[in-house]
Amino acid sequence: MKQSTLLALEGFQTVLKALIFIAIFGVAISSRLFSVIRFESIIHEFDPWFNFRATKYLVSHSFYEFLNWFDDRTWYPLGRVTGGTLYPGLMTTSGAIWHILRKIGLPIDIRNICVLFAPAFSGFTAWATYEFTKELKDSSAGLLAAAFMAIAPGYISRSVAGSYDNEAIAITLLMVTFMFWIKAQKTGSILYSMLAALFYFYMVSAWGGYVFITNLIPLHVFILILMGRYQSKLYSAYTTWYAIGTLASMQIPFVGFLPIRSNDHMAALGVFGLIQIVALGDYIKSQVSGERFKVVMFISLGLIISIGISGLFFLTYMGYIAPWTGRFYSLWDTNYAKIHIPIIASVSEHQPPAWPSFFFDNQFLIWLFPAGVFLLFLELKDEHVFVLAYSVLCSYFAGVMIRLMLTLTPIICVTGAIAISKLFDIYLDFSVALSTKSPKDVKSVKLDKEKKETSDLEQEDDDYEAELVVDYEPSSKARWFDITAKAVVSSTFLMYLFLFVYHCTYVTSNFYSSPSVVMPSQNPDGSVALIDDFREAYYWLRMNTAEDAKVAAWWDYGYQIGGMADRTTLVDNNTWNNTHIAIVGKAMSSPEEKAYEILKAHDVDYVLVVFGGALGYSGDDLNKFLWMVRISEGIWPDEVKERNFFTGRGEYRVDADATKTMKDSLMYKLSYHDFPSIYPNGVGHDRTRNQKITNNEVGPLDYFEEVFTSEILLVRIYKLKSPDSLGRDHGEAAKFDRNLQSGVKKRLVKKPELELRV
Amino acid sequence: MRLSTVFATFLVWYMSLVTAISNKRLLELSQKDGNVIKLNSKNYEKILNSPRKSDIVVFFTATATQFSCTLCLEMSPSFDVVANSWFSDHANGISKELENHGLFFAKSDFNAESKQLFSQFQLTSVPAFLVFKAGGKSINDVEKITVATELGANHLNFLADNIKNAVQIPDLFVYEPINWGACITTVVTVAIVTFVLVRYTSALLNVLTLRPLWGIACSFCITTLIAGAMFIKIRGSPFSGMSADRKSIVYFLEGQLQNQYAIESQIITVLYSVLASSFIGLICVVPYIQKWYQKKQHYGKAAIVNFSLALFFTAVIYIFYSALMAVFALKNTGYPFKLFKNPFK
Repeated sequence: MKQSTLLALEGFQTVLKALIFIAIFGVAISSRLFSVIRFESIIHEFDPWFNFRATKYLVSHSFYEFLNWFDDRTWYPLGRVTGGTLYPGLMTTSGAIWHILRKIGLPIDIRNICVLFAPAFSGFTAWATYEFTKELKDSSAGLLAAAFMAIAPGYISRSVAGSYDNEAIAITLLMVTFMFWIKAQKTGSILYSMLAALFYFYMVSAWGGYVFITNLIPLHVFILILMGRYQSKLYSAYTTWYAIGTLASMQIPFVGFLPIRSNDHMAALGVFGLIQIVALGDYIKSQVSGERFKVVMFISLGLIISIGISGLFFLTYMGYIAPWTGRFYSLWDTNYAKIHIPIIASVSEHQPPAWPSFFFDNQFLIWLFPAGVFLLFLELKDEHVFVLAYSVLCSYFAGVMIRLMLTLTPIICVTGAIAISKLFDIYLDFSVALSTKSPKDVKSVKLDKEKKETSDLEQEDDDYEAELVVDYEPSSKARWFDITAKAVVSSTFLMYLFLFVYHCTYVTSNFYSSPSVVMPSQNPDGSVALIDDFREAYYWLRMNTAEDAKVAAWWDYGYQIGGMADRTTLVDNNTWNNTHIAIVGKAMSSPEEKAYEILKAHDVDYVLVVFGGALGYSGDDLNKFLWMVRISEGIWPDEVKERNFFTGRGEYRVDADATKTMKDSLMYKLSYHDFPSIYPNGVGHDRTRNQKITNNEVGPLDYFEEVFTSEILLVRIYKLKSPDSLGRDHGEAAKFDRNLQSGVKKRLVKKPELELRV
Repeated sequence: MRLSTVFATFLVWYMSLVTAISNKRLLELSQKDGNVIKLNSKNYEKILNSPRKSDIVVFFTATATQFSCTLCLEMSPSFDVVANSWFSDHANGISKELENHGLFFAKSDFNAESKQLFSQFQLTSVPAFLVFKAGGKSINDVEKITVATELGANHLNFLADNIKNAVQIPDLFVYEPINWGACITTVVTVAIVTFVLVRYTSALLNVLTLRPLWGIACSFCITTLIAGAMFIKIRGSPFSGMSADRKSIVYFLEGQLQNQYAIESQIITVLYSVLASSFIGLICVVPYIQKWYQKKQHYGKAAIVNFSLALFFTAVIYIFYSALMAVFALKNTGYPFKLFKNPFK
């Protein structure tokens, strides 16, 4: 071909690539906007509300004030050293964007930046995935991977507009770090490994899941060493990454000295040590004879490993190295969390996913995933080892904890794209149809080939595709067979790709785009109705209570109360203090007078409960109630007993069969207070638990008074009664009043009938 | 008249003396039954409905297959272990620290002979544990203990803790028996493995360095994991379920994305494996065979084989993928996509 044609083709490819990237960006961003279009530009769920609040704090204060932020409005009365216990990457990034946009004359509300943060970064994730996959195969696989990454529901689930969570930026950083690591490992370039370290630092500043990188890269290096693939390239890449990355990560206040003191990070340190020895061994090997080297190697390896392991045990035993964290344990010993840390087990995203979740989040990529892994095994270059380690490890993790599906999704997209692109390499190649070679030419080419093959059997695999094309001049019949087969195969797979796009859009639109602060529902006539009880209640709190009022609610709502109502909370989603959470749990599961005592001791003014019985909302407090009981039982096993909340037949009931402990508990009373009387016949129907509640079950409320209940009874707020003016106990006072009232009634009957005097 | 009253009183006193069950009698009974007394409708009155000086822990179970109570079957050995541990320390069943305070174990399996016993305590669910405390006068002095365990868990710990809590005997220790069978198996396996390792080192090394072998192992491992193997291990899901009318077996928990039976994972593993291997067939096998024929100069054959194999693998993928989509639609009611529509329906 002529030089100019080649150049033109290359130029065309570049333009096409650019267009594809623009399209991928567009798709990545727009498919995440369902929630904004359907609802409004609003922060979703729970954790994002804290991040949003922290970001607001950051843009209104200086960076140092932010790092030193002591938050006295949460965990009352303890407070939280927020600046030192958060991962600041997310907030600083959006803060920086806000400042830059203001500098160039675009003063955008910080809320909008936070809402649209995740979609914007998903575009970058797609780009990083492209670069990553390009290193593994070629740019066509890279483009496929980027497109998959842009729309895979497994990633969208945590990155729709409004889901302003650490994961929104963390997955981008994860992919960028991996991309630079692969480049560094391939070339041995110090620049690339430094970039990998820098992005690792960024990742550490953004998400606790950075430990995954901390362990995966050393694992990659370790496996390569075991396979005997040590090279000095590997040495320079790993040591640079480890030294810079570890030092940098220790600059994050929350991480501090963890990288040298916690067992989670010891693997990286161990491999760092190992690679020094291997490098030394490599040097010695080049200096002494093979026999002697073997002896030296075995003795030194045995010594080093035994010293390393016993040292680790000793230091852990002496308390210099922190043992593994609870979440880490629960990954390996799957029963650990349930027995020892109910607070981790109680979170729904820490549950194991059933198989439909995998298919739901990745559709046909999920069965391409093992195929892609196998195909990589056939080549098994150094960088492929990384993908294989990642795949096996992460599919285990995702199998144990549903939230880790998020880290599995990128590698599924990558391997799936590699598999599909290998298929297309073969079956989308219609050059046979254009072949115009004369038989003579082909003969000579073939002879060359055969010679080459006999001399170099290793090369055989790589060459067969080329051979196929130039091998012979096919007859028209053979040509027809070939083209038909290729057309059928490639068209079915194009169809599956189309289906994948439809599936992703369906899942994103129907399942992952609800803000969970505002809930969509349907009117009887089929029109959409929005249930906005949460915001209604939080706004009520904001407008009608004292600015320093303390609100007790289960920890799930802590961030939302802080973010939307701007009131002080006792516990929130940070869950750093199990005992404090157990106090709230104990108050909720105790009888009214005891609960009042506990709450008064903590200076609480209001109690907020979420009750889904009238609506059929299954995520309400009564359904979480058992966890409150369990968590407080962990601290006060003598006072709170889970068994007492179950009926004799071991059922969890709230109707007439409920146990006395259940009916007396504060949570029960606050949830069902006056609930039956809103029904015409006085029999309330709890639509969540499908049980009937009458006024006989719901005892009178003496220590609390209802101050607010939202439209559909979803959120109910109660005020703790202020001390009785006569110094009586509220229970006694209420009893006295009730007696008085019944007395009054009697007296009323006795009153003489007054007739109209004429 | 007066004499008869005295006589009646004497009789009652005598009766109570006779019926009060002594620790010695309990010990005899338990020795006869191998540490755990077997209760049925005939003997339970005698044993439980009388003043006693010992704690009696009774385990109610239903081992008959028609109840399909897996938990009962799983817990039974643990209960025996607790009983055996107690009697290995205290041959006479009497605590060494509490004076004249015994502890005995009994078990009752639900069948025609013990039906009355179960209705006596109004038991509606098994496994159940009742404790008859020492000093209790009659069958009504009873305490039910709930053992918070679930399928597949280590029942012994839960059970031992709960029994210890209920009976408050300080010197009740539980010894997990050494599983000699497992020990021997381990020893034999280790011996065989070492022998093979030493004898066939080079052959093994060749096998171990086979890439496709590793590839298959890894891919299969991944396939089982993404088919929900960990879910089953952690949750201990039942293998399959029964339909509401209890007439047919149900293989899929329909309409539940977050829950599944164990058999679902096996079905899905097979589907995924077939799909993945057909895909690999398309990429590796088809071109390889075509090339093989071409090398032998059978160009016509090469084209036909290539054509038919490619179509075969595509068809397999299509069929199994449609099956997968159909199964997924079962789990996710309202899922709008399918690959195959039955034209006869």
